[in-house]
Amino acid sequence: MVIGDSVCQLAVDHGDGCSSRLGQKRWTLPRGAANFITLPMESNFSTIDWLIVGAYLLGTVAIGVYVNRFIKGMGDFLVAGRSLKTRLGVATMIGSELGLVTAMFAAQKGFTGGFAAFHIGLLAGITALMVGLTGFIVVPLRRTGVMTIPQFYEQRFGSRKLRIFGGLLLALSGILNMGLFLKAGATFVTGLTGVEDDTTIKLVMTSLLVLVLIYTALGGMVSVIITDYVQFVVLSLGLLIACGVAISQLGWQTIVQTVETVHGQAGFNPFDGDGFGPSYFVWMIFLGIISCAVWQTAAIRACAAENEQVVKRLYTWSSIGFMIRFLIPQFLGICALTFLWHNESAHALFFNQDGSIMESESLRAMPVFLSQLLPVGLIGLVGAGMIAAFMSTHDTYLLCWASVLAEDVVNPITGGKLPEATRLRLARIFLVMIAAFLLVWSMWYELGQDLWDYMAVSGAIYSTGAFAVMLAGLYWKRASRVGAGLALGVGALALFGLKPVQALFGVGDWFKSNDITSAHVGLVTVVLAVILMVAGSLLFPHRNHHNSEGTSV
Amino acid sequence: MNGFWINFWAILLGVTLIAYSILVVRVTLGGFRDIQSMFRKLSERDENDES
Repeated sequence: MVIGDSVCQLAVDHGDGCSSRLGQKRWTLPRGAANFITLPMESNFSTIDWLIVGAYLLGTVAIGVYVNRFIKGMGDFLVAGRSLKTRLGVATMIGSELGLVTAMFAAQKGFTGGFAAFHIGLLAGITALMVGLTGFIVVPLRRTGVMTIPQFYEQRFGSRKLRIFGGLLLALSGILNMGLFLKAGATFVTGLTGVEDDTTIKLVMTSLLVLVLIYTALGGMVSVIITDYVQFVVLSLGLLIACGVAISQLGWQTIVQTVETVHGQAGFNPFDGDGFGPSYFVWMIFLGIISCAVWQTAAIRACAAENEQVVKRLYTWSSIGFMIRFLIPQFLGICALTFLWHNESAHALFFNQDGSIMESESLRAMPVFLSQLLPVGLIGLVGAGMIAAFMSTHDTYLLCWASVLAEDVVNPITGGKLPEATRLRLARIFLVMIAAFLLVWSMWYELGQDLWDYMAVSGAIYSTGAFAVMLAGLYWKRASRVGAGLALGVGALALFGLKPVQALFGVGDWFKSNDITSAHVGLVTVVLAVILMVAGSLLFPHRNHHNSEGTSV
Repeated sequence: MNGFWINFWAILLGVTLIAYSILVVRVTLGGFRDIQSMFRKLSERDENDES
């Protein structure tokens, strides 16, 4: 829809619909699928919006160049010299966690699951708040003084091999986890700007990745923190305004009625078996804990915090961010559902003839909706914020996995004697290698399921085992390296939550016929990891036990 | 039953949006001061290293 364009048939009022105003034109959202409005699906993204986005991109590179002067060693590169204070910590935590990919998969969940999808954000917020108030895992982790989680494995269990194994697993899981970031980013840019040309999109996404590489390789964690802060400010404003505009244009009643029409009760009740169901709910509680306390990109913020009090305050305040990073995009996904359901041009593109959602198109729904809803200028602000979010997630993740490979895999293999300058150079080389892998993977991999479920499963390869290892390592004196190794190893079972892996092993139909979802696979893996951690520790105890303060006794 | 969930999600969304708006203002202003402080700390450390 071109707002203000005479082509739009906007002055139609069907009487029984919910009339709203967009720009100077009146439009209507009628109730009932038979009563559509015809609108040309043309993005509102204009030259002014491109200029806003361009100005932001140039600014981020300038930041990387500027802060490079402060990077004197790995401590600066990885944890910004441990100089992070609470408010900046909150901004950077939310900045890196509320990425474009998060916005995309959360919006997709809102689109495909309705209001019931809100339980994901609610649980993420509650678990982060609990972690902040109690200091669960993150405070004892900060006390150990480690910079990465595999480093903790070596320090706690006295095993360099465990650190290397844990580092490899973490990097594999993390790199796979971000494997579809580019695809999600490209889908967003296409949907928002209306640029459909494949070559142009690939060039844009590659350029964005190169920009991220430049400022991350130059400025390390310091530039990551600054760009995350800027992204937090720009994206937060953009999203809050977008929500306000969406509610005022669509109307709350219309939104609720559309969810009821498309999803029925499952669109509201997260325990309804036709929608998410109880097992998915429990899986989300676990993911809430690990995404804030065990996942390296979040835990590194605890490692970078000035002291333990800052760690607790950081998580307590960030709990709102952990909730909002799902809730707002999910709500925009629900608004997209409402808008596209009532739009004749879009309806055929996003819904099957029987009214069900076309799964393959659900990822595009939110950006297409924003491209129709937001006016010139505001769409540029949201676009810049989202692209900033895309870059800030990439910088955090690239830095994280490259550092893990350099610090926890290569350096320990060489006996831990590599000079700091070599390790820094290695981390930068890994940054480029991972980026090259991402370009290939995002083009090759067929998703076959919701993006959020892909990310939950790929992350679970590491996090299911790591949760058991960190829990036992920090709070149980008798935890041993054998138990830790077994728990980490069993995490690979989580791969069976991915549809292509099920198909590869010929068990896809069996999973489907028995109604076994990725949530079931994840939960079973967690339980197995905990059992193996305990059993391995009891059967093969370590001679030097460890106390909860992180020192050998 | 839907009525309960509709009200619940509506209240959650409203409260979250208000809380987030307050957080954005607070963190935007405070975060800027923290950045200045971080640069000062890193600069002072570099000067100490050189001396």
